[in-house]
Amino acid sequence: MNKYLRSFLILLIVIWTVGPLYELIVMSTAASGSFSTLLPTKITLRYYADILFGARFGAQSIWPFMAHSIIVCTVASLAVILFSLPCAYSFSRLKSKASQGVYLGYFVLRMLPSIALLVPWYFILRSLRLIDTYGGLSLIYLLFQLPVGIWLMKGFFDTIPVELEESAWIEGASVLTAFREIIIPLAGNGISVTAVFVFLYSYIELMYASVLTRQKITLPPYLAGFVSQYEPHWQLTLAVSVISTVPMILLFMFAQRHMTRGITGGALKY
Amino acid sequence: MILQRQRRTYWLLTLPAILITLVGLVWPISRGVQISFTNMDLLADTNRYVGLANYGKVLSDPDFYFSLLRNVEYVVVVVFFNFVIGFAMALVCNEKFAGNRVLRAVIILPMVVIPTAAAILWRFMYNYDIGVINNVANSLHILRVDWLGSPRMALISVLITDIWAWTPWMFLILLAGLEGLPAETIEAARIDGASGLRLIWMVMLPMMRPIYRVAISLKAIDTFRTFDYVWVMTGGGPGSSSDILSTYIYKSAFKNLAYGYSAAISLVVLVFTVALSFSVLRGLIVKQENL
Repeated sequence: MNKYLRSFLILLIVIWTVGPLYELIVMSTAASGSFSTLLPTKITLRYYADILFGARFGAQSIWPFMAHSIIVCTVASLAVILFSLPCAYSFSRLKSKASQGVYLGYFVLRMLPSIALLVPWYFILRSLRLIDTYGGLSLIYLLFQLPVGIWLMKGFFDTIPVELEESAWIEGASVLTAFREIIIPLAGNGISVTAVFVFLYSYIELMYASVLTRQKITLPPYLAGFVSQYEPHWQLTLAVSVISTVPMILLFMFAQRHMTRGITGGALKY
Repeated sequence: MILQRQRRTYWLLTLPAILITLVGLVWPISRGVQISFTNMDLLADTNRYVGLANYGKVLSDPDFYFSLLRNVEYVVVVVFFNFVIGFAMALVCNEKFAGNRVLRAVIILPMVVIPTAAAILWRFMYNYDIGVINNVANSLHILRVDWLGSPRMALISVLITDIWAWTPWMFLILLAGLEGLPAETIEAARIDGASGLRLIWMVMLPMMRPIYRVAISLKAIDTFRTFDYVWVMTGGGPGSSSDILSTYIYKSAFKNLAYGYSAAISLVVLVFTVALSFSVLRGLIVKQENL
């Protein structure tokens, strides 16, 4: 590639990606007078302070909502690990037509449009009195993320050579013992990466969270709530956006070595 | 060698996941079918068995077809631009230059922002009076555009946001694909005189075919299910000019409280997408072993 063409493209790329983020940072710190200019004349951190430390003019602090999100997503990702770990391991070792079929079936489930089950789930959870509970929303995330969990975990198990278990079997260990004593300790990396991605996918979910919660609102519906007001307080809203994105950055950095695998839900293995 | 007894243990280990999946499918689907046979509607205050009437209504509902059409449009446009922009980004990052790693990190940033937050950010930038886009346009003496407020522009504006937010996804996969290409083959093609666009078009793209097939299929299916951007930025409006299937169902259920009818649309959409997914999956498996 020509050097000048490359520099030009890099410039375009940077403007396209960074421009909106620059707006996000600048506008969330712009003092009221200097609002809506590209270069604000006065910078203030008061909106961040309001959100982190509570109300000055009616703004709630972000912490309760952050807590709801973290609780729901943690429960969901632990549950996904619990169910997907043994299942993915077996799919990795059983090489029969039937197990392949079920495994591919999970791929179809992954593609299911979640909107299609929203109305029935709302009524089911209502009759179980699980609306506005951590359990209800976590259960939904468990069901929707389980296919991703299984696909990701199987990818990791496939990299563990079967010879390791075979030598344990020869010494008399059962399948379960070998799984517990040899495989799980080796799969630590895969487990944490899977947990992180399931957490991420649940953390950004808006649709079910806004229908299934009233008080225990997670961050996406909390954020969406700002703009459904007639005249949203923009600086405040953008500051909330920035703060709720911070956990995403940390998790992405943690899982960056397995990014391609994670963002395709295990469909590509790099 | 796996013995018969071990085989049984393996299947037992898959049972908890398979059982919870089955319950998680059969229960809501059967409940959905049940609701779709009623005219349950909290505004009209009706809740009686109506048989297949709702399905007849879906199939003759112009709003449903318009939402479906917009949904298809949405997928085609977003995936096309995701691919073109993402591939250009990957080509640039595949070169050697100072700051390459920094550029990669920068490109990924939009994907890290929560979709709801990204939607809010763009909604703000599109704002007619105070948004930065109109301000810049104004200072360049271009007319202000009512990005989200006019039926003609609303969906296009949302599309731009979606493209901005998800191009990094495509970029990461295509970059991994480019880096996986054997350097000798590229070098050989270069020596044979292939360069620039010809090298990309005749050598690189054909070799990356398995990867971009998976990438495009996955992105298309994910985009088909989209909800966040449309919902937060326009709510499907103005009127219903930017409604897609998900927002249309959401509105008829939780705004108009016509549960019976929206359950019927949901099931139609479900059948439609499962059929679509199966054909995509078959295509991927026939052509590619490693999935």
